[in-house]
Amino acid sequence: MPLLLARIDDRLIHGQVVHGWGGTLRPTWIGIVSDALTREPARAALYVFAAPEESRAEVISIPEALRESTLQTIRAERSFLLFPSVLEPLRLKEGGFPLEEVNVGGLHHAPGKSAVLPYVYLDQGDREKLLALSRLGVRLVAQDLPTNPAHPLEPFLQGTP
Amino acid sequence: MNPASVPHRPVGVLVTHAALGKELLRTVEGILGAQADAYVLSNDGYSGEALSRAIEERVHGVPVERPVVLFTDLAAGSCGIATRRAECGARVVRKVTGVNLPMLLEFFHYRDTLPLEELLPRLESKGKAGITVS
Repeated sequence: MPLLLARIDDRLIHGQVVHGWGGTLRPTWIGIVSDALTREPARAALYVFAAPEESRAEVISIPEALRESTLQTIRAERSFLLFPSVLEPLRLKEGGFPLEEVNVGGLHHAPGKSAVLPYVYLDQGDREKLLALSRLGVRLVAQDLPTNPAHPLEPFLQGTP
Repeated sequence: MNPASVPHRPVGVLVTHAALGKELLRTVEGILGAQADAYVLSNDGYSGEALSRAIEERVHGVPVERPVVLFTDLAAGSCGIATRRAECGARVVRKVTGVNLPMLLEFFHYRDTLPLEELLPRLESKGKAGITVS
């Protein structure tokens, strides 16, 4: 089974992922890729607890995500990958992970970031990383929910904010 | 209703998706009258981390002797996770998920008369009892 959803979302597992995407795509395995979260087991446990009933969630580091065993899990399961920022999918792609499309589903307001969509706020660093992902052949799609329109993100990345 | 018997009235904070908390509180006030010591935080526009910080700020804005009850909707949603993640130090902060109208009516009706440890189980039982399927 190919990867069902690779999503950048600073809320990680939450209502839109569990009920919106999860209800439609029915994942059985959710990999949360975050080096920082692997160092905070108590916080990681909150997200693992929040996984949909029919799935199990794991918090894995970027090096762990790049292991062959992770790819085997993804192929064997109905899988989601969740990233808290733009950095993680870029590191995965640079490391050879077969990432074809990334859903940008939730990057919320923070100092220095400006809105390109109501649920996507970017700073210059985010734009550069997303452009790098795009140059590596990854399709970037902004879409908060499966029932809402999907927007190609590249046109939003060209101008400086 | 019994006269006030708790030394410090608990403060209710609704941490919910979109406008749910605002509308729940508005509905409670339509039934019980205006409520002081009640606040609403929506997750609109917040990252999980920023919502946790906003919850902490709200709690620390309450006088230290007052208990705080945080009501959230989805336990496995951004509000539930941010609420559990919020660090409130030594404050008396209790966290209730699955907020609904019967539960809130119980809270606002009895928060001045029932000790918190007696009130909290009633919130759970009233919230569950309010769900029927026929």
